[in-house]
Amino acid sequence: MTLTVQKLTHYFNHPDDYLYKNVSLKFDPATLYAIVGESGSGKTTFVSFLAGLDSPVSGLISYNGKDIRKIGLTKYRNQDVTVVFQAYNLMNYMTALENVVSALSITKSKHAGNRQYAIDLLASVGIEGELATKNVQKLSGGQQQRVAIARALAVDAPIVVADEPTGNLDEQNTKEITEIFQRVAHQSKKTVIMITHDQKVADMADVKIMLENRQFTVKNSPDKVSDDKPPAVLIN
Amino acid sequence: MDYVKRAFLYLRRRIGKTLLLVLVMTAILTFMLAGLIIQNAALTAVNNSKNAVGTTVTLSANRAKLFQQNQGSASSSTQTPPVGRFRINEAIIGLNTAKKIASLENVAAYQITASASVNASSFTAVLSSNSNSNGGFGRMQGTDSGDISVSGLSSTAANSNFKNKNYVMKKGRGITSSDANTNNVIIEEVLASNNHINVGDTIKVKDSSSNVKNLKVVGIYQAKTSTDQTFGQMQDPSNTIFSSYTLASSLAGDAGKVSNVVYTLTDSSKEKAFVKSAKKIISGNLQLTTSDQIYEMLTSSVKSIESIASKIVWIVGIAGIAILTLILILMVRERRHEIGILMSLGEEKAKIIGQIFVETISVLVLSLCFAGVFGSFFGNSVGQQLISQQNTSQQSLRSGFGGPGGGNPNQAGPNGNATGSGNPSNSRAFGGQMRQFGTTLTGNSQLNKLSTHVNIGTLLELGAFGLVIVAIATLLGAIPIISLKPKRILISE
Repeated sequence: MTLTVQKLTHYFNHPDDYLYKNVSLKFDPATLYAIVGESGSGKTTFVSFLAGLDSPVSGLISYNGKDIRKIGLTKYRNQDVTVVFQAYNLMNYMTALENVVSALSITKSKHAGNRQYAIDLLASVGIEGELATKNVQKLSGGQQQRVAIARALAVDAPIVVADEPTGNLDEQNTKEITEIFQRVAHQSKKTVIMITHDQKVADMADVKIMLENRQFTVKNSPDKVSDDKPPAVLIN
Repeated sequence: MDYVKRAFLYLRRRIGKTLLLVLVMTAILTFMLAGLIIQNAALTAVNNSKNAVGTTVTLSANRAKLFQQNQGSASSSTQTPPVGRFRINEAIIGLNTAKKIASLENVAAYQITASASVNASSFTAVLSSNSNSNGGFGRMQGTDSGDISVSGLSSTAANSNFKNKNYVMKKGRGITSSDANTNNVIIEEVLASNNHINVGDTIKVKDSSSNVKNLKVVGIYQAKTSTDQTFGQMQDPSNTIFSSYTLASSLAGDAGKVSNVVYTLTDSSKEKAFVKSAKKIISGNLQLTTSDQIYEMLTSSVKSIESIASKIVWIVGIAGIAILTLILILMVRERRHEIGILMSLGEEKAKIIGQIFVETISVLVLSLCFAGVFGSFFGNSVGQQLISQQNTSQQSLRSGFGGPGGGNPNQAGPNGNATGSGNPSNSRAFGGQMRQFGTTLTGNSQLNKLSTHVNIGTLLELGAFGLVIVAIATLLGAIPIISLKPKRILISE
């Protein structure tokens, strides 16, 4: 259940003006990864490839040894990966509960149609009682992000990609949301890849991947991961 | 929650937009329904009139030729014909000719008609309330017209007025073919009552040569329709006496000649062959008019309405597609973010388009209900407006032909039979080809009142049109979705 990036190269206009060149990375389950980098360094573009929202100029992204383009990006997004966005991206005509229930249905989750499962999941991220049945536009930023996380957790996808999930939140909410991601990785055994520019958030991850000067460098957290099984490695 | 439930949820939560869409769709469908109602009503009227006209061929005088001949003889004469006496004798069909044609193949039945004007001698004609106030056409056209019109025919049972129950036998019996060469007549109830005449009595009339004739009353009928007052006293149905065509010809001084014969054919496909054979028998002063021609004349106005309605349906349909497509394109633009979220969750584009389709179909169903209510009123008012315009223009046209022969399409003349027997009052002075047209309109009142009611069939037809509009508009409106990329919508660096 490994997500692998091999020789990924991407540029927008000219090959010489590349964002990254021949990047190879491996992401294992039950690990929280934080990709840290300056604004404009290409972090979001990179996770959009991992999330199957876009394709790089060259290189291979494979899940369980299968090229995700061959799986089909729509099917990959539907079955294998789920995304949490900085701007929450919730269906604004739905309640918190309906957002989760509809995601269960779209992804054909084994819990599809199970409202109680959705209610429990929302409760586990702090959306309880009336909050669950309120229109999402009436919720605060932190609450909306919790709903987005609940939606990501609800589906059966083993990979969770989060693009600056704490970017719009205060310190307390940031800490709580990051802890939820930790639980998702360690308890739900999912591969969680999170983009952040917040060092405190990055420090809470199992593996920090730095994107600086168009180069990826990996820094494992020694107190969280044993050295004999590093959760992420730079290949080559 | 699948895309169908999502569609209903969207419609409920975005009620303002939904109502706006329902309003636009209702407007489109109302116009379309009005067109369909009028079109269907017109088609029904055309079909009904075709049935009413049946497959018949009418033998009558060729008025145009007779008119030319009359003019020729008048110009060669040194004397100017007296004013008001210029008329054409249409009773020029020899009975032998009529019967020879009747013996041709494919003739199922035939109705011979003749008419005459006589003056009451042993009784008094019924006076119309305004018969002397404006004279009416009858009085204006000739001074030799009597106060009683004699309508001769083969059989009253085949006469449309009796068929349509406009005239009903009250006592005695009607005229049949066995009454040929007899003086048997049937008279109207009011005339009989005013003059204390009963079945079996003999009445006396004076013909055009002032000869007194005895007529034996074998039946009394009741005319349920009133006459158009502009036609004067003689046009009052109470002053119409029905007899065998032989008696009418004899009273008109044209013994052995009749003015009109209508042949009913067994097979409409052999109409042309019949006309071809019949033309070999008749002289140049006679003409044969097929029911197709009559049908064409009858239905021209309704066909014109049908054509207008058809254009309305098409124009509204195309405009509807254009309007709805534009709305859907704008809607997709506005909902790009929502579509991006769905795509990021791995929803198929087909299902996203499906959601929009379900939403639009739901709006269509609601709009159909509203259009069903509004379209009926709208269609009725537009339909009647069109009818009235068409009738106005047609009546102007008839006036141009110079006589009431065109008749009042709303009303059957006393002798109006479906086979075109002519106006008995003074058929030789009036009418012409238009007379036949006018009298044939009897029984075709459906042409003057379209049935503009909404029925299930029309609603289903409208639904089918609506479905096509929605399908095309959704497909066109959804084109931008095909090229949408979730990253461009949801993530911006």
